[in-house]
This record gives sequence, structure tokens and C-alpha cells, in this order.
Amino acid sequence: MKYGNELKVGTAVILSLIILFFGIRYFQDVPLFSGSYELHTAFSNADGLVNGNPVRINGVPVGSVDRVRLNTEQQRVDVYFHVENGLRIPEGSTTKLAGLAAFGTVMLDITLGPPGNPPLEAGGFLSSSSSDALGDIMSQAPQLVGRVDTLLTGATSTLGEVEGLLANPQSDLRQMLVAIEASAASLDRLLRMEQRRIASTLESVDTLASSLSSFTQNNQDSLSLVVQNLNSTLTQLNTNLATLESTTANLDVLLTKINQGQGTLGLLVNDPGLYHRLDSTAATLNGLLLDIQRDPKRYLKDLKLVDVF
Amino acid sequence: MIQIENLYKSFNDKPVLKDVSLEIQEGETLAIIGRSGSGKSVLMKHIIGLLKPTSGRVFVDGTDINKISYNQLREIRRQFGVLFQGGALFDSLDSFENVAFPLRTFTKMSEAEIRSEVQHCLNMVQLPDVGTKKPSELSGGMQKRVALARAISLKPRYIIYDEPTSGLDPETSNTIDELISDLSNQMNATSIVVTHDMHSVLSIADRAAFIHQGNMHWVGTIDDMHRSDDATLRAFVKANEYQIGIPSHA
Amino acid sequence: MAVSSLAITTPIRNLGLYVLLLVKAFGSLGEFSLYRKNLFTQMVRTGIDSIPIVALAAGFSGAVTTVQTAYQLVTPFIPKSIIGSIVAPSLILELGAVVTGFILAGRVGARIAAELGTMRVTEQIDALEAMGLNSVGYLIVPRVLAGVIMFPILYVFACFVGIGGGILVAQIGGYLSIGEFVKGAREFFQPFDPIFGIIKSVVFGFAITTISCYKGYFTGGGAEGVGKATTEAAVMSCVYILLADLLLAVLLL
Repeated sequence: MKYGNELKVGTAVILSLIILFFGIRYFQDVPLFSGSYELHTAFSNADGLVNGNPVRINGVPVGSVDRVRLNTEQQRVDVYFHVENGLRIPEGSTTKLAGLAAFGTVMLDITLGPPGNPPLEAGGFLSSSSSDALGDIMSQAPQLVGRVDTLLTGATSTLGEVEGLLANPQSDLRQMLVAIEASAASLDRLLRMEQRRIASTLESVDTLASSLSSFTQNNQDSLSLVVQNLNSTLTQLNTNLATLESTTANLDVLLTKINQGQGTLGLLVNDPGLYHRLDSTAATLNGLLLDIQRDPKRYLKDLKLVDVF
Repeated sequence: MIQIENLYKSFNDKPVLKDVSLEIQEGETLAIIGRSGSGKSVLMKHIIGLLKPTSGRVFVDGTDINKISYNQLREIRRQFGVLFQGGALFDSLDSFENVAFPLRTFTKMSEAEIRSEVQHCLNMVQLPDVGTKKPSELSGGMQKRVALARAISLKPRYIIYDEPTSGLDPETSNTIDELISDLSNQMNATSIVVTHDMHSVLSIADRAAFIHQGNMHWVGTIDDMHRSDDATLRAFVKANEYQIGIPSHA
Repeated sequence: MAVSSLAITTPIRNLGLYVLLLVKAFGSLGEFSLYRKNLFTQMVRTGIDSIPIVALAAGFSGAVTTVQTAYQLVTPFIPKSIIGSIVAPSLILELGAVVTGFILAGRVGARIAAELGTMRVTEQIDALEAMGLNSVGYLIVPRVLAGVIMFPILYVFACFVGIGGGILVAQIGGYLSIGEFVKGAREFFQPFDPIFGIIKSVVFGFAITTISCYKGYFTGGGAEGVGKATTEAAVMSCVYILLADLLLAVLLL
């Protein structure tokens, strides 16, 4: 082995180059063997999109962002990204940003255009559709407050009406109370009639209790274990609630900060799911409010019952 | 020819050599003698430019070796073969490769030529079969002989021996002494032997230079030395006669 | 000379000595053919022979970082993939190069200083010089080049094994799946990170080998001096690795 050393060194060099090359490609999310092609889009606001952020179609990662450039001439942000070779993106597809920079990851989502359209060539341009998600919530908030305000005014007047109804002996409410009174009398009668049966039932319950007692004695250990587990579960639940409470407080501060346009929370907070829940909650609330406005009686009916009991 | 003129050398303001002048003739064997710490090894290192004088000059064949570039100095050094005190064999290489080292480095000899040349040198030091042994596997005397083979492998014009017999038993010392005189004759080289072993001096040197407390105290032939009535020199020679064979170098 | 002025001039003098040594070493690159064989020997000793220990240390670093990051991240709002986002860049940016650096400071730095120190005290360096060889070039250039070339290679291996160790522990220990780990690692991956790591490892390789060569080459005082030089080489290498680490982070990140 005259060239033993040279051979060893050469092998190490080649191995490390291979690891380096494929390692970088792997973590850049570039397909290891098949190539990729570049596409181009533009946004009015990059919203925290940076190099290396994933590009997705219907939630499936297909590539990543290469460059984000500020284009001062056209006052927009040019974004260059690559997708796997062989992936057919028809003309008329659009891009939008998903995820929140405040919670960690921003993604570039591609919404595919009509499948009949010819595919985009490498270097092609996709137009973007805006989806400033958190901004939407923020802009909706004042509107929401306005609605709540209207709702409360409505509720106040409704309560006034309820008061009137109760005063009026001809009102439905009055008649209903009378009916309930009658029902109570019937129940009383029923109980008297069934007294004997109830007594025997209670006897059975007594026997059951005594056999349960003996069972408990026989299985004391496992039961106490169950109780202990239950106990610790409750404690844990308590802690979780405390965590939730503090998290909520943090979120509050966070949202204030985001609203004021302060800082990026970066790595530490990252949960796109949170946003989705928030969004759907807002939507539900919205729907609810709309519904209340449209048909307040439906809700007020419930209100009546509550008052009665 | 080597000329040393008014050489001063001090380390950290402590003088070691004070106004040393010496001329070494072509072909002769000169012994530089003196007690341990007298500065003779320092003087030797000035001759090949391993140390720079504080003042004074060193000429090798008329060239002032402290006025030339490092690369030119290296050219001059190639005319020297140096046997260091401990042999200074490269312990990563076996004996054969140690002797072959200067040949591989400075000549374009083929592997076969190198092989025969190394064998020739090892024969000259009477160690024909140590080629595959590492320096650590050799005795002190053998190490010195292999080092000597390495020093002569480029057929130098000057051979410097730094304490060639220190640390060796009297018999081995004699062998080394014989080797040195044989080599000087065979290779027609100028030899400089730095030693405190008067036995060596008497058996191999033509002339002796006695350094005492950093000064060139006495220079002359061996015959002159016997007749000299210089008290310090006589004391040194006499003291050494009782010490022959006893390693006394510090 | 007064003690106080010595305290100032000695470090400056040593720095000058160090720089001159390097100038002398790299001034002799013209005679590279003389050093070629030596270079490959040094590359094997510095690089190839260090692969097992570097891989071991890096693998454990990756595994430990993963477990500890998982331990610290208990808040339900943070997805597990963030562990991958923390472990992979930590290894690529910092641990890969620094762990390798510390190991080589001990392994290679001490060896170089001991070798050169022994050669100095047994006059082998004088012997090389007396033969007419540029001992600085002959001894130092191959060692420094071997460090500068092999260190990035060891760094790449360290990152590979380290991330592998992290993924393995994440999967086996049930902290998070390979998929989650890789997803997290990809989200925050910057192509400059490994480049930065390689720059770092080149600098570390240079620092360790030159400091150790300097310490070894100027050894004095016999066996004790060799021991002192060896210790100093390892310690100084570690100190300068940390300094260089900070300096590079400030300059390049």
C-alpha cells in the first residue's frame, strides 16, 4: 500500500463532500436526485417570509423559498421559489401566504388553477392573492364591538318587554306559570300513589349499598389506587388550567404587541392551529351574533325558561 | 576553511562567549575542548549558523554566514555533516530511513542508488544490519553510529562531532574514536570535535582549542599541548585523565 | 528590565515570534514537494485517526441536545418539531465545529506540541536545520495544512453523526418522530449555516495547529519543558477556539 495515506485522505474528502452536498440539499428541501425548477411571485407584504420557508400545494410540501427581494420600483416584494421537477402547475394558479411570522412559520401556499390550462414554464410568474389573516381579525374587531353594542341595546329593550309580559295576566308567560303549578300538583299525587313501590326500591338500594360495601372492603387496594389516580388527575387538571390561564394572559400581551406592530416572537410560539381556532371562533361568534340579530326570539325563549326555574 | 572572528554571544545579557577567534584549516581535525558549560557547544552552533552571534563574524570558505539569506545559509549547511550529542535521529523513521533522509531530500537518486548508498554508510559505521530498527531499539552507541552514518551520507566537506563519546562506556568510546579518525582519513573531510574527553582528543585530533569561561584560552597542536605550561590547561588535561570513561556531561 | 514592562513586552514578543514562525513556514511553500509525503502522513494522523473520537463526541452531543431540548419544551403550544429546529442548527452552527475543536485541541494539539517539543529537546530540529532543511517549513507547514484541510472534513462528519444521533434518540426515546425532527430542521435551515461552520472549522484548525506548533517548536528545558508545552498547547488552543468562535460569530452572523 504505497499510497495508503493518500487513499484514506481522498476517501474522507470525497465522503465529506457527498455528505455536505446532499445534506444541504436535504435540509433545503430540494429533492435529492431529481432537480427542481424556479417560479416567481410577488406580494405587497412579505409578512415574515424568508429563504427556506416551505412551499405547499393543498398542504403538501413541494419545494421551498429561495429568495425574498424588496422591489422598491414597483413597491412590492418579489419572491422566488422552487418546486420539484415534474410537478405540473397550471397557468392561473395563485399564491398566498399562510401561517404567521409571530408564531414561527410562514408558508407559501399555491392554489392550483384550472387543470385544463397549460403548465407554467420554469421562471414563470404566479399572481398572489392576499390573505392577511391576523390583520383580518384585527380589522373585524371594531365592527364586532359595534355589533355587541347593538346586541346589548336590543337585550335591554327585550328585558323591558319581558317585565311588561309578566305584569300582564293575559300573557303567555302568566299562563305557563299556571300550567306548571298544575303539573306540580299532579306530581305530588303521583308520588303519594307510588309510595309503596318507592319504599321497596329504597330497600333494594340499601342491599346494593351493603354488598357494594363488602365489595369495597375486598378491593380496597385497587379502589384506593383508582381514587389516587383520580386525585392526581384532578391536580394535573388544575395545573393545566393554571397553565392555560397564564398562557391566555401571555397571548393577551402577545396580541397587544402584535397589534402595536412590535417584534417577532420567533421560535417560541408556533401553532398555526391556534390561528385556525381563533378564526373559526370568530366566524362562529359572528354567525351567532348575526343569528341573534335576525331572530332574537329564538334566544329569548330560552331566556324565559331560565327565568321561570 | 572556517574563520571565527571576535565572536561574542550572550543569552539574556549573560555572556557565554567573549571575544572568541579561531581558524580551522582545510582537512585538519580540530578538537574544541573545555569544561561543561564553558561555551564550546555554543561555539559549534555558531559555525553552522544555528545561533547568531551577538557580535563578531563567522566565515565559511570566505562567506560571512550571518550576512547571507536563510536559503543561502542552507546551501552552505549542506556541506556540513553534524553528529549531535544524543544522535538526534528522527524517531519516527527507522535506521535505514534516517540515513536515507538527506539523500531523499537533497538528491535525485533512484531508490536503488539510495539503497546501496545507505548500506555503504552503515557499513562504514560497522552496523550493516540495523536498517529496520527504530532508533529507540538501539543502544546509545549504536544510535550515535547510525547518526554518524546519516551525517556522512551526503559526503560533507566538514564533519562536526558534538560530544561524540559522552555517555558511552570506554570501549564504545574507543570504537567511536577510531571511527572518527577512519572517516576523516577516508573522506578527506575537515573534522571539528567538540568534547571534554581528553582520551578522544589525544587519539584523533591534530590540534586543540581550549575554551575556558567563554574565552579562547589556548590553541595549538596536540604536541604543543603536552608541552604547554599553561596552568588552567594542564589542570583540565590532568583532571580528565582520571575521569576518562566516566560520563560527566551535564 | 522591570517586571511590569516585561509583563507587557513578553506577550507582544511572543506574538511577534508566532507571526515570524508562520511567515517563515509559509515562506517555504515553494519547497512543497519536500513536504508532500509528510503532509499526507499528517492528514491521516490529524484527520482520519480522529474520525472515531470526533464521531463519538458529536453523536453524543446531538443526542444530549435533543433530550435536553425536549425536556425543556413542555409548553403545549410549541410543536415538537421545534426540537429539530433547535438541535440541527445548534450542531451545524456551533457544536459541530466547537466539539470537534476541543477534541482536536486535546488530541492533535497536544500531539503536535509533544512531537515538536521532543524533537526540539533531542536536537532533531537542529539536525534538520544542520542538514540544510527549513525545519519550520518541513515540520510546521504539513501539520498546519493538514489541520486546515482535515478539520472541515471532520466538521462535516461531526454534523452528520451529531444530527443522526439526535434523530436516533428522538425516535428511539419517543421524543418526536424522524419526520417531525426533519420538518423542524428544514424550517429554520439556512444554507449559510454549514458554510459558516466550515469557515469556523478552517479557522479552528489553523488556530490549533499553529498554536501547538509554536508551543512545540519553541520548547525548552527537557522533558519537563515538553510536558509544559503540551499542556499549554491544549489549553491555549481551547482558549483561542472560544475567542475565534465569538469573533467569527460577531463578524459573520
